[in-house]
Amino acid sequence: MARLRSSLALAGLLLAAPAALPAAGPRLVIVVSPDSGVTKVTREEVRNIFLGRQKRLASGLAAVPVEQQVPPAVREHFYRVLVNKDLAEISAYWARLYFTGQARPPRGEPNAEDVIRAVAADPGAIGLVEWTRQDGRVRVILDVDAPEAP
Amino acid sequence: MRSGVWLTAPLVLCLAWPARADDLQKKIKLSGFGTLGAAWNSTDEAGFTRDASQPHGATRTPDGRVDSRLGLQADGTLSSTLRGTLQVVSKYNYDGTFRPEFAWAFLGWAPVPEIEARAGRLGIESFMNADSRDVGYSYLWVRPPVECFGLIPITRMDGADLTGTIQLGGSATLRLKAFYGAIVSEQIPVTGYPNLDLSGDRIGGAIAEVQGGPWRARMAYARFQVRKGFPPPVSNLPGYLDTYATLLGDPGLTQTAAGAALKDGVFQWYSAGVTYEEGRVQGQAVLNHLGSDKISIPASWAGFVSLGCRLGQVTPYGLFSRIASRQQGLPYLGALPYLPGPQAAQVVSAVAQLAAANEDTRSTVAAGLRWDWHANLDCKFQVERIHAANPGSLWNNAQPDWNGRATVLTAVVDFVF
Repeated sequence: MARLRSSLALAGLLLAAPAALPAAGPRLVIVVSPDSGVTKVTREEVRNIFLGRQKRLASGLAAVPVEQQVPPAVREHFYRVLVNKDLAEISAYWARLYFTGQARPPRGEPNAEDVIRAVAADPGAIGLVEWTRQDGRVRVILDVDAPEAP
Repeated sequence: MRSGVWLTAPLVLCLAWPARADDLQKKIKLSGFGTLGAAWNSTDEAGFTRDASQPHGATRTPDGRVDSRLGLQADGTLSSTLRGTLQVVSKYNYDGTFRPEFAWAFLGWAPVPEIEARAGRLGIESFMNADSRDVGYSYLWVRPPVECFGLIPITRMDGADLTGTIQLGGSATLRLKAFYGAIVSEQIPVTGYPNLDLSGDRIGGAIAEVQGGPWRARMAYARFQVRKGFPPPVSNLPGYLDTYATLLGDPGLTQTAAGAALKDGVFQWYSAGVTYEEGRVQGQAVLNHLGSDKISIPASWAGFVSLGCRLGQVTPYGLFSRIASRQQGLPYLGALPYLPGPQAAQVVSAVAQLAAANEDTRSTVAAGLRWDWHANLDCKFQVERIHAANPGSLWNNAQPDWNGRATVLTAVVDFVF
């Protein structure tokens, strides 16, 4: 009986542990072009745009999500914080949509500079980039780790 | 309509072909998916198949054909509103080969981001995930639950569909889709009979799907009509039954004769499904109903419930799925079995065989593990206990004295690139 109880307690710990850990990773921001007509965005909107469910920015332009691929920790942290999923689950999600011709995953750019360049050049683009790398060419509309305003 | 793909495929390639070579990488995206698997069945008395189109199933000799498949896809962005997709899939076909087929070959036109019309060869989304059944990497199990996905493997059509996405209040989205086309090259081997060929038969339907937070819920309706039905001698059966109905003055037999004729039969699919994915939990439930008044594809209810819980790279899961044919045993035959002479006995035996070949009542309890051990690569192990009340169409070469029980062990590796 005692053994059963301790294994149940262990199972409980295993289930609860990772959820109790604070999200750790690079500080990330969501950026758009200054010509996008967008000044802020909710986390829900970002989630829907990057999962291909919402097709437009708040300003009405067709949304083109762009991700920073290197280092992998950027995407890992983004999907952990915003969707509570790991990258394998996000890949599985896109495999279903992509191989049925429904939607394409966000465009991947190799590094922060390329994301910023792509976003600055396209008023419909919405980019995921490290906070330390953003500059005046783009407008920050969301701090991914900041608690959402009520 | 079969020529649809031969018209679409070159068109997609021509339009997608960039004027300059350095545009190539930006305009065309090549990718693929696949599964390598082996299934072992505890009995040699019935071959375990993934769906009714497979001509041989897994027995006590591990079988690599049931689940293994490979798909290659090319996507071209032709303009801001026009795109094309080609997908070739090689899997174990009804004729026993791995002959590759065009699974998708379409042009899509989206005048606004929320609306897209597609034409060409398309997957049929008659129920939840019906069009992604070959992409093992996209789901938790080693294969989609056979009771729901295996019965009538109608997966592709040459036709068109129209999809609209509407932003609902809060964060929810509604996706509406309508489709119509001609079924592509689907043949179903029926034990003791020639293949049932459904290619060219018309299918149409509509889907409504709501997605919000961790939930995705959908309703679907599809309708298809069998124009050719069985070839002779099976197609002669209704005529014989009609003759006896007149002879015996029995309207019940006339009805049985109508039920035995597959030609011009209309089938209707109703489906409801829901998925819940929050954090480490992945749940899914689907209920399908096939409406039919035919003996050879009888009306049925099918459904499954599945629950998985991700623990790091490993996701253990459990699955229960079941199908129940409305038709149990012989259809109404009146006084026919008591008539003297070999001809009446032959007709009775043919009806019995037709009914038994397609009466699918069975359930599966499965437990498994998905291990995401590398990016875009997973390993899965599944053990399932199956109980079939009748061998029906989902088993291959079932022996008459088989008790309907089997344990199946499967290991697969899925990948996408």
